[in-house]
Amino acid sequence: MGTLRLPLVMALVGLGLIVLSGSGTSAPAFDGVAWPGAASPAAEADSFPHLPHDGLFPLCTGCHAGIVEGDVPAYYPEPASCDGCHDGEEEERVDWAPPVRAVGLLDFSHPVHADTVAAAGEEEAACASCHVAEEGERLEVVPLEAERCLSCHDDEPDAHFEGQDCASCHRTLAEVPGGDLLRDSLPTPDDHAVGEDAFLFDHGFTGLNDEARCATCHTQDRCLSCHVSGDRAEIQALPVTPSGWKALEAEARYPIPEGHTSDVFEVTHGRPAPATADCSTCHTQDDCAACHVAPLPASAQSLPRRPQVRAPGVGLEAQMPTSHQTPFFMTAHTVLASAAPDACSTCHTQTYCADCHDAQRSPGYHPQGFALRHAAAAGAQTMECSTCHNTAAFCVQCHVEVGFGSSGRLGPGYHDAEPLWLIRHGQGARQGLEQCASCHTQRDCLQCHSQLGAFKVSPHGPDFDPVQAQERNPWICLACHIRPPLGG
Amino acid sequence: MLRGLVFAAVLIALLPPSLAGQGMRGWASSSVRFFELRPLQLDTVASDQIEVGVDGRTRVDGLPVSCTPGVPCTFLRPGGSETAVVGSQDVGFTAWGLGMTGLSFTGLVRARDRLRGDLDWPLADDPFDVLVGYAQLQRSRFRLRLGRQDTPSGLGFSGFDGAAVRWDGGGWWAEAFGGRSLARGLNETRREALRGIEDFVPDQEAYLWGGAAGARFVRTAVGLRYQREIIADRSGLVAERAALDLSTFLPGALRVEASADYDVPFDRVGKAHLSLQRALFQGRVLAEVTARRYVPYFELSTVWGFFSPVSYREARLKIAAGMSRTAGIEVSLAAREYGDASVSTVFEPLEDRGYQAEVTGRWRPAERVDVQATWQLDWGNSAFLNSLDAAVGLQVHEAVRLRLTGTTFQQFEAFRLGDGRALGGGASLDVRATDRIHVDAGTLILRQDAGRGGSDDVWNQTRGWFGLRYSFGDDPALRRGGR
Repeated sequence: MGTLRLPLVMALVGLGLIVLSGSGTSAPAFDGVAWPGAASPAAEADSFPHLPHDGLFPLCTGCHAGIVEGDVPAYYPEPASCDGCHDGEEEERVDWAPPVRAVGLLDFSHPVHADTVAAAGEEEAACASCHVAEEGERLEVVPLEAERCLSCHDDEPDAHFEGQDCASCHRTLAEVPGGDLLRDSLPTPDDHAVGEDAFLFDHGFTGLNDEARCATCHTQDRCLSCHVSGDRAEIQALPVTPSGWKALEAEARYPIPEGHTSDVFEVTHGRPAPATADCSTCHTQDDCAACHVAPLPASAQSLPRRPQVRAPGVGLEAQMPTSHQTPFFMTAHTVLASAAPDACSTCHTQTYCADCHDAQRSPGYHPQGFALRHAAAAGAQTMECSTCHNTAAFCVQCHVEVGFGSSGRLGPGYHDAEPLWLIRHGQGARQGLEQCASCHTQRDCLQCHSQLGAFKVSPHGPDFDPVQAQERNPWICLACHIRPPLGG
Repeated sequence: MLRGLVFAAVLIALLPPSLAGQGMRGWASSSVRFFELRPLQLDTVASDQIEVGVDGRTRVDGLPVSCTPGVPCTFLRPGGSETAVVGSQDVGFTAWGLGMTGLSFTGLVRARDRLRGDLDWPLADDPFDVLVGYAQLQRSRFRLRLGRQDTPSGLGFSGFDGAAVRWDGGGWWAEAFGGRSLARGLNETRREALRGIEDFVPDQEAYLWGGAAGARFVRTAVGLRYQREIIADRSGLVAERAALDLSTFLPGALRVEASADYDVPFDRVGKAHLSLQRALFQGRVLAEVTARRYVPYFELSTVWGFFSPVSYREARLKIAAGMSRTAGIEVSLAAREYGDASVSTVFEPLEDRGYQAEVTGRWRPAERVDVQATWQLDWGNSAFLNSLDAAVGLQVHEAVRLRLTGTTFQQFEAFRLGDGRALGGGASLDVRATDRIHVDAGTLILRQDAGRGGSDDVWNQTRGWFGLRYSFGDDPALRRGGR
């Protein structure tokens, strides 16, 4: 009987527990089976030739007595028990040893299953249902297949790796000694479809709904290899990467979300202030600073800086807004700058405007050599010179210096293209008064256009409203009039 | 003073690294410019030395002479060559993270000096200006600025020493501002800046206040601004104006931009424009049509506005087309017509129409070479310009760009006979020594080909410049040049 029990026990264990692992003593509730195919010491083929021993061991528990009770030392028979038959006389001696046990990824409890089996009264059949090849002989032990587990479990996923309840069978990789070595050899679930953008966008929902599934294979380390910020609850829920683990070499990829490709995204992405948790999935504060001038908006400041994070982040480069990308923008940005000054201040400070509009270098706002030939442009008032230049201080000073300016004398001279200029200048003056003011002082004109002047010529046009003028600024009337023209 | 500013700029640049959370971004720009020209000088000539041409005009040595009975005939002749060397030092910076969330400081200061020469270049004798200098506090939807500000708007640049409060919410914004007014283009308070320059400026400060509001949606931005500038003792207005600006896209990818300003005291619309822009031929051509009205704006503290300036109306067509991946062309055509000046005329009235045409071609024959040529005709009622410019840019090194230019033009200045044709050429060099240091230098030499029958060198001019720009601080924007 003793010779029968030993092979039976061995057979039972060998049916499926050839891949068993686990500390046993420290966590007796778990068998800790490493997954077939994974780089686990126990993930090898059957080390015991069960099938040739068929008939010797009628019960699995004959050899694997501890399985049912969770008695880890009794999971396997003593190697010496082989000597009962393999004594060197009847049978040659063998050198068999039970598998080395290590903590694996499988979180499987034989006692729990044994209770279930016992309740069903199918003790022996239950062992075979997992450990024997389908339609195989009783001791035709094969490596464990996940589909066997799935056939009973409630969620019944279509295929392994697609289930939503990994924790039913698995412990986390972080709990497995040497998990970092195991990590690289694990198969990739079909729905991960690495390289496909869809999974990259959707995996967060998986994490949100079933943290345990992610935690089966992943530690926070994996998330942080792509995610800029690890503050998300889904990431925090994952196991911390054990110290001493080999660094994960994962390539971060940042596909562009659909919403980002809209032609209005550059305008709308900050309004309302974005949920920075979303931004920080891919972006550091440095990405914001690629376009936004410092100090950054508060929402941007809440993002981490690039040196503070492990993930590379998107790494945005400054991009010229689409509104700037027309050949006419440089001459036509006035309206946009006036209607939406905040649009400019996103990327520019006031000093930027002044640096060009009031540049002390050449070329600045005007093209090179513009001063040499600006007469036509100033005459046409293509640009309003007085927007930037003080006519009296800038234009007059320069024109006087180079001999164009008035010296107070109003005889003919400079405007030599028109005969009798002095008595013909009225039309030209009204149509280009800025030009007059760029060389002449106001007193030059008042030599004639004043009550005290030589000819007392009224400069006012037919639409001039003296009442309104005097109401708005009465004292300027006295530049020409001896007393307020309308009284008062 | 200039040396002091240079020292300050260097000091700022060499400051030790900022504390965590603090930051500063800025630049210092030094420039030296050289000018050489021959100013006009009024001279007299005896009547017996005057020649009368076939056109009936009187000349001496080919220069027009004006004669008035009873006084000597006068003419303007080129004087001796004069030069000016002007130096300036700008330092602009923004600092933040100063112990209070949202607090920052922005400044732009400028020092100038006439370093050499006998020519008084405009503003070169104004040794120091604070162009911008304000503290900003950004909190939630509100922004407060205190200090010297220079706000661009549809009313031009409005500078003041004071406060501005801005509110932003869901695309809408509103702003109120007020403070001591600065003289336009001078970056100094009016009392200080205009004393001795304008004839009738009161010996008082002026105060500017107003408000602005607008909305910026996805494809539309609209802004309305009102501002009033009043003499300190409230004896009169300097200005009271409003502006409306609109930029939007209509169906069919038609971009519309419109603006108008209104001068309240004179009860008239000032400048206004409407532009329609659309891409054609799969985006290879961009066309823009603009209708524009222009009336010069004068402050009420001068008499100019009371001289009833009239407007002109202008229509302009601009087309930019990509001929190939390496070549493109831009064409601009405009015609304008002045309003009735309502003055009695002697002889024929002056021309009251003007035309402008400009054609620019760009070609990149090789990766490191670009060529540009521009022909411009500006046929105005008071002045004329016909010019042709060409430039070749060579990227001789990743950090070094050489630009060679050639130009020729003929111009008539304001109701003045033409000064002949000028021929010129120049060269400039841009060196981006490091991410932070940029050096540029160049020269432009113009020589008169012939003018008024006089000597050929009356209008000769020479320009030269040297600039050094250094960026400092820790804003990533520095990598892309100053912003």
